[in-house]
Amino acid sequence: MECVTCGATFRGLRLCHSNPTHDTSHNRPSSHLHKPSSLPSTSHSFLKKLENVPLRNPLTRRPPHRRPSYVEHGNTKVICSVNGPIEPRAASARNSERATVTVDVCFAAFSGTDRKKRGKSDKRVLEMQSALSRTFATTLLTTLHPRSEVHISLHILSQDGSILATCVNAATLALVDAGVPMSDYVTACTVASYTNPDESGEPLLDMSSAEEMDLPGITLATVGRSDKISLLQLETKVRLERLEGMLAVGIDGCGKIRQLLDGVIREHGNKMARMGAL
Amino acid sequence: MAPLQTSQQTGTPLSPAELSYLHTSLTLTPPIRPDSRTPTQFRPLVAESDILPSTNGSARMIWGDGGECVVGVKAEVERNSATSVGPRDWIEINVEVSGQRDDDAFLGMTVAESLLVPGSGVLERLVLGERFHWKVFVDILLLAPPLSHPATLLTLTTYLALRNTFLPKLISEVVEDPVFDDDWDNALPLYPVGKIPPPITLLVVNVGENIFFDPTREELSAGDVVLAVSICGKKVVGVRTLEGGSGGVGRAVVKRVIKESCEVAEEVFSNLNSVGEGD
Repeated sequence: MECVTCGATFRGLRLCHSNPTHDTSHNRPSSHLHKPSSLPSTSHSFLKKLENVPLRNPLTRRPPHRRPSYVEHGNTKVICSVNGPIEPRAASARNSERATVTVDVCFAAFSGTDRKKRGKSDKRVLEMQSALSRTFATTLLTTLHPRSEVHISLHILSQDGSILATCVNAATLALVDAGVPMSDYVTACTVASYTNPDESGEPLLDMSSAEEMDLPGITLATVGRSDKISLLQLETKVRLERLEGMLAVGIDGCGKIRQLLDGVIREHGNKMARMGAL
Repeated sequence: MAPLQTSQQTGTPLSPAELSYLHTSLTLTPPIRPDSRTPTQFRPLVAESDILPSTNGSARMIWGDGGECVVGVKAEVERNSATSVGPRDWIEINVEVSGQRDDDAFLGMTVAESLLVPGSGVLERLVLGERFHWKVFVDILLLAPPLSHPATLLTLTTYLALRNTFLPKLISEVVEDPVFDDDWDNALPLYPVGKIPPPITLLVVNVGENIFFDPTREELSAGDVVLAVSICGKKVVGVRTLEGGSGGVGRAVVKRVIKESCEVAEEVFSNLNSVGEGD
């Protein structure tokens, strides 16, 4: 898929609700970090004597908080589930004016190249959690559910750059599915500043982890079709004259992801409606 | 909404009258299960293997009642240490339950104990020359705990991940530092076909004279005794009681449980082994 203004492309992007095995219209990433792409992920559901089981679709049987969303940006894979609005689990999350948004980010120990366990008090995890909860607290219509809590839990299964952006997209998808009222989609992507040998200086959309290591880049999230930025993260030095172009590419990229999310959600909604779940 | 429930101990959803009705229908010959399954029939589930590119082996399983589990296996080269307890700690198992602060030690123990079956030959395959060995980390992530007991979900997913675990091929001599073949296609499976496969644990609930596999939460609460049966290949390698319930279990029933477990496990193994081949 191509970005409107600059022709920059995303890596293989795969978004789905609940169950990736039911989604066939995805692009597999063309290059794997560790394994050749000749090992596709496969699925198979096994069922003894299918005709005897009173079959209700597993998706409809799940209570709302147990329907996770799954997003892949290249080799970054995130599963997100939303629980809420619920009664606050901690007294600190109780606000008589509006609902509070709490976020749990969990890096699986096997997600990186080397096995590494990240604790709950890891600085990077805490920063991501607060950035995500602030972003969604402004977009969700929290005043509709006072004295309650919306809990977003994110599991990062595989890391390959743009982790925060992937988390935002996964959370949006899960929040929509959970029926939490929100003003519009929040979509995010990353942009890197890159100097070509011929000095054209065109920004790169959607950084992989190798690019993240070498190039300065930003993560940005926009709300809906407006070009309003609701999350912007810049952790490295970027030349000021580059920033404008990077933001423009990023906003376009977010718009593109919004279209993709919208397509996935509508398709899923139609499917659910046909099954009679709505 | 109540917080997520991890097991049936957190209270049954049934009234005494419902419980008694369920108990009666389960003691009939032939028994009637609430979801009209046969005693040895499993609930439908979705399984996929080889899902994560940064691991040596991985699997994901989703149960109809909402349970979801992801297992990633990673291997690292480690130097043999003189002080170590021996090869037993070459395989490390971690269980992480989403939304819970502490690791559930019991769950990890169930899987770990059954994994290190003596004489399975796994540890010999982890040896790399004289001074090094593979250290295998099995990380089990329980994204959403199932309503019934999670032991079966964990072990089935772990089995699937381990069956799909590959280790790079060693090309150096025994006395040298280990050097590996770059080609992933030449990697060797941790559990080759024909060798003893990793074990699984099945839950069996006993009601009167009847036994049921893959019990739901309601059946667990109505059962007399819940048994966790570990099966490796065609043999039962461990039986333990998980819950006392309302009475003990007879010798004859245990014998039947073991006999039928082997038959059911064979079918489960063949189904699990076909994951990744079909579709």
